[in-house]
Amino acid sequence: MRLYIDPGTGSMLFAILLGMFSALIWLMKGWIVKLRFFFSGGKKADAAEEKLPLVIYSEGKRYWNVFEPVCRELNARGFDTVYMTSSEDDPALSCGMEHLDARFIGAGNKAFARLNFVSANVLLSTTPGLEVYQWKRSKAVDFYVHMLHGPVEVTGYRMFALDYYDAVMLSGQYQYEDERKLEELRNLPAKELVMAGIPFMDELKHRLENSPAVDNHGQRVVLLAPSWGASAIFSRFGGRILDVLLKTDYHIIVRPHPQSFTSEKELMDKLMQQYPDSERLEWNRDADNFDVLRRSDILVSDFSGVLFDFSLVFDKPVIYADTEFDNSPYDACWLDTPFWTFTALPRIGEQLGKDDLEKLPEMIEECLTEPRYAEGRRQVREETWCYPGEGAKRVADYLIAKCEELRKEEGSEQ
Amino acid sequence: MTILSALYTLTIKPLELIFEVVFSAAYQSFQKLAALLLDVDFPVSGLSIIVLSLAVNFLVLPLYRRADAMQEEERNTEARLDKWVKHIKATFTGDERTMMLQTYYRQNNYSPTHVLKGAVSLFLEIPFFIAAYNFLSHLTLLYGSGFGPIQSLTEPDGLIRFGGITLNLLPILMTSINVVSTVIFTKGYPRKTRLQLYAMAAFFLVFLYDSPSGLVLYWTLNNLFSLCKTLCYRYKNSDLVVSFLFLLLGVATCGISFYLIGTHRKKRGIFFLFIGAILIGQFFRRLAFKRGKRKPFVFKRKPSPKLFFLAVVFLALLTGVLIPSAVIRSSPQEFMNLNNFVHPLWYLVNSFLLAAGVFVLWTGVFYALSDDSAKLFFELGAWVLCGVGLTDYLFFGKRMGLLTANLTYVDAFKVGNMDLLVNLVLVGCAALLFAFLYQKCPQSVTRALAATVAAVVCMSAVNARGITQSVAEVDLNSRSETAPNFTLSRTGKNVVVIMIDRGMGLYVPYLFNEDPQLEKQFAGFTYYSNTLSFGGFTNFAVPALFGGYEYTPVEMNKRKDELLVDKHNEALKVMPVLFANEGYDVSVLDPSYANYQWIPDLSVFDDCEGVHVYHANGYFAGDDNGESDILVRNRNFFCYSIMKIAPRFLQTALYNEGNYNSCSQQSSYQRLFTTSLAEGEYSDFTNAYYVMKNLPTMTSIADCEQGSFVMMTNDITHSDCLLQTPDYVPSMRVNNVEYDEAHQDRFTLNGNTLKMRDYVDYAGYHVNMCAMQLLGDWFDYLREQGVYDNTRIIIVSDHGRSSLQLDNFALDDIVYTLDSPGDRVDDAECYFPVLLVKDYNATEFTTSHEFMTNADVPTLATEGIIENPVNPMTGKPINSDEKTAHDQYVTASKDWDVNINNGNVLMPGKWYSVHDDIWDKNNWTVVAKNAVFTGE
Repeated sequence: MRLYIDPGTGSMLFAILLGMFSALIWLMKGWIVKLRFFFSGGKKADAAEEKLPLVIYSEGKRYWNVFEPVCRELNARGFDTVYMTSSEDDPALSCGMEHLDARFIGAGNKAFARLNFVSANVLLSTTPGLEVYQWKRSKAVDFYVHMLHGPVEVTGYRMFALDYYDAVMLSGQYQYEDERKLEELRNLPAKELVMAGIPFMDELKHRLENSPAVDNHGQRVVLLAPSWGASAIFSRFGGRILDVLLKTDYHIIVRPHPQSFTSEKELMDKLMQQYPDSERLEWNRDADNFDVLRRSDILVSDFSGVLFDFSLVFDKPVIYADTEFDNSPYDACWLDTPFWTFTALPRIGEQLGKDDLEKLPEMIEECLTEPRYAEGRRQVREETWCYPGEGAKRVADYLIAKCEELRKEEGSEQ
Repeated sequence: MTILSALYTLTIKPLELIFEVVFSAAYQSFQKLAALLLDVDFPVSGLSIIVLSLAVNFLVLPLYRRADAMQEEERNTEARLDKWVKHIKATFTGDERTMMLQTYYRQNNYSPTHVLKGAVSLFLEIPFFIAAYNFLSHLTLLYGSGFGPIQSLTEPDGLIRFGGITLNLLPILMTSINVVSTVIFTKGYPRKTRLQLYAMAAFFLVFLYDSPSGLVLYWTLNNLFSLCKTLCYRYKNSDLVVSFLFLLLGVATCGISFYLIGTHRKKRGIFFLFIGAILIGQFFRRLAFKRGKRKPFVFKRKPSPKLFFLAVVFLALLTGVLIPSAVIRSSPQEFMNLNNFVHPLWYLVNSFLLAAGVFVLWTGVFYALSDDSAKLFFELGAWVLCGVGLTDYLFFGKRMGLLTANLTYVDAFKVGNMDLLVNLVLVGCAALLFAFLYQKCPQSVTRALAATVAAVVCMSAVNARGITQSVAEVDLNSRSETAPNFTLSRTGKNVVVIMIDRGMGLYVPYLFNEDPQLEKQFAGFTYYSNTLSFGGFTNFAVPALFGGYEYTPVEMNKRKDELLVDKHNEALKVMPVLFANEGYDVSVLDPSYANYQWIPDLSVFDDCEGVHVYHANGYFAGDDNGESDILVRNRNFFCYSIMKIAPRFLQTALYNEGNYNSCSQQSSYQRLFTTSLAEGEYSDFTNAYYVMKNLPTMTSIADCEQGSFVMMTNDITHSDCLLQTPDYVPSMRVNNVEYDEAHQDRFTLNGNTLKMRDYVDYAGYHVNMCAMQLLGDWFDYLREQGVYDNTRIIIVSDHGRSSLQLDNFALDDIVYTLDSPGDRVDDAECYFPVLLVKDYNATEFTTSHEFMTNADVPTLATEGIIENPVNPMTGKPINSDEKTAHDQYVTASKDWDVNINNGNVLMPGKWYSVHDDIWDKNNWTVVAKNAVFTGE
């Protein structure tokens, strides 16, 4: 038989084939992502274990300070918790809490493969992007709870970060409003948004309150804690910022981001050689930043979470670098409301523009003396830090209640 | 059947069938219209293509609408998502971009693969176009047909000529419409899309430029339809535009009608006026609808897919399995051909696939794509159709006469007015009742349907088992591996008995009168014009014919301790064994109903030493070898079922003179137009015809003293078929209009005129003539071979048929009607068989009015060559003493089916006694009205 084709059918076939081709490419992209995940350790893990009441997942040891107060609270109440971490040297593994079963589950996709099949009533994490990236919701987990690791907006994560969590522990009304707005825009089911406070800041505050007073011998201490990367302070100003600071009477502590010593080793070596430790200047690489923060009167830093820790816990002013911020990749870009951090920062300190380096001493002086910054810190603390001192207790209360509720539901279904 | 062909039968074939019926109906309607209104050449094929194009496009319209709706939804979704899709694509890269898009799509219940969902409807349209294409590209009716200026629809049109160049106009027209369509359709689309579509239009212009104009016409019309569709969807006031188009067309048509009336062509004028009025009426109807004066009826309930599914499954099982299996089971072996064996159950598989395709698959597709309101109408329609179908099948069309293996009725298909009326009332009541039940108790309806489906499955299984058992009784190894043949001696004495089934004794003088050559060819024969057969059907008449007076129906009944089939087999063996015992070379071909099997079971002769047995029927069928039978049955079983479940007023159109609206010329039956016009061949006829035609091939001549005995049955006279006059030969296109008009006097002889009322009368006459002419040719051959004079030849038939062609044969006060011809057992023409006997060295053709019966054949065959012949089975003498010892008893029973009438005695029936002269009504007496008669 002659090849069948007529204009109508031919056009139809053509349209269908084009559509199918695009669909196929789309499917293949999805498969490639899955294959990459598979070959980078994301093989199905054996999850043949009994259903756990509560699992905490930590991406790494740096989050131990976020989880520790909650773990301690749970431990104190005798509530058995499994703590899964992606750091082999996570302090949790050796914390000695009786009711905390800390386990190292590997890093990256290996950890996600394990988590994708974990069985629990509740899983608590600070990791965003559940069900967006390789970390998928496990069918055997009833409830996912997210806990913020900074006193900032929930929209600062990369897009869709919290959309597939069932609950989020919050510390400010603006976070609540932003999250509800995102849910509405994306037509998502309403999450349980719990005003819980910020356990790790409570912890810092508690530690501060129990620490002896600092004696700087009357000398002001300026902490320069730059971040790393092309737009970070050292990359933009180089050693000039140290020259400017050294012209003042302040004692200078330089505490670069640990990553700088890896990624910008040359720059660091050069600076450390050019500006060695002296009476006026010290380089600080302590694992715990508590003491250095406590000693400092003002913090000069790039745009990072430590600004708020310093400002809100230690109640001291900050100077933050003028960093260009593009909100495109973040959930924030979905909202018309201003990025909360940028409304908060001017209230707690001064912005260091790229042409403002020479004015830095004046800015420091102004920050230290102007009472409006103290008032600004109070306002910001009020906005972003609810229930100070109660964070760990509230989080633990919620988690335990949720676990019991889910267990009860399970029992009634059986 | 391969999986692919089964899929094709399920998906494409049903659509091809629908289009074929549409085309056929249009073709026939236009033919009739042309005959009624116009005396000019009417472009029937071209107009039918237009109807086909409209049918295809209207049928796919719901699919198109669905696809359009889905695509619009898709387009809207894409537009809604566009902002963030662009944002994500601009912001993220690599895997993160894919994952972000996946998430965003998921949140919006969208996936780029949804384009396939939208394409499903479009995809579903493709089988429709493939089916229409397949149908058109194999349509032989287009050969030689033109359309307006197009000379032939099977050639490129070549309408544009300038200088020495010829161009085809239709492909250019098709492309132009395509381009206009694209311009409108792609308004606001990206340039890339438009360019793609223009490129495709150009591609099709080049690719299809040399296609036959019939196909290009069809595609052009499709494109035109598509353009109208696009216009309607694009412009909001399209309804108003269409309404005014109706008005415009209506006014124009009325204008033409006034012109025609003015030019004294009143009939045509009135016709156009009528059409014009309808068109203008449409304009007002649409306007009224637009203003909301009419509101569509809406059901207040949720659709029930279960109910719909059960209803369509029931319809598929009823039409695809139960009805066909009941037909096959009545005589499974009739549906077998030993030379091209297909198990009859395959016909069931085929018809079921067709039925499932029509009812379950395609109706299901339309159901699935409909909105809730339309779904309810589908459910109601399917359920009511179940009721109507069952009523028609169970209570009507029971006495339509004999049905051939190719699903044509032996007698003319007519529906009486009373039958029509009763059917209409009952079917109407059934429809109302079923609609009421659907409305009031849908759950009970579902349960009832489930139970009925189960019952139909069980009944079909029982039928299938019966068919399998019957097929198992046939010795498939007996199919002829060597050609059927027999030997005639040049020097010894030969005896040949040829039984032509249902040969009409009444016709012989008329046939010989019309063709004077026959008398020469039949020189030496005596035509017995007063011959009686003992029943109107083969099972009653054959035993006596081959076995003599010991095997008349009455004598068979007397031996009530033996099975009829055993007595029948015994009768078949009487002459072969007798002659074999006498040293003759004996050949038996196609012994009727041997072992009561439609395909004679030759194993009954296994114990007959020296007897050669053959299946000859169908052996010489030619290249076709029964393929057309298989094709026809594969198609027509479903069509037959549809006809059976349809109300009576539709059945004549669906039956379509046994053609079931087929447009194929490769058929195993004739499409009959009038008593003088027909198309196609009837395979039952050709199977028998080629055996007769090949008699010289089958005849071996031997120079030996040993004589031969040949006993043969042939169905040529049992297979009504219009033949081409004056030679009475089979032809794909029979046209006897002129011959019939010029030779009406051939049916009058000695003041007696045969009443030729319908196709059956003509076709019956034709096949009898054909048989005589073929026999005459064979006799010529025997003469050439020098074996004519030393061969005794008996041409005999088992019985005649009722056609009430001569008044004095009507035994009762029966009046000729076309209804239920199979019931006419009170017509003595049924019992008037052919008997032509030529003895050794006879030279003159004579006619004898001596009272004979076809039970005289064994006596005639043995007379003078076997001394005191004795039935080797019973030891009784073979003679015709019984003929004159008492009146002869003829059974007027209608129970011809040996699958049913197969006990020890014949089933009770009506009986006549006859003596001396069958032409005298007074010699016929009813001796029993419903009895197992034994002559006492």
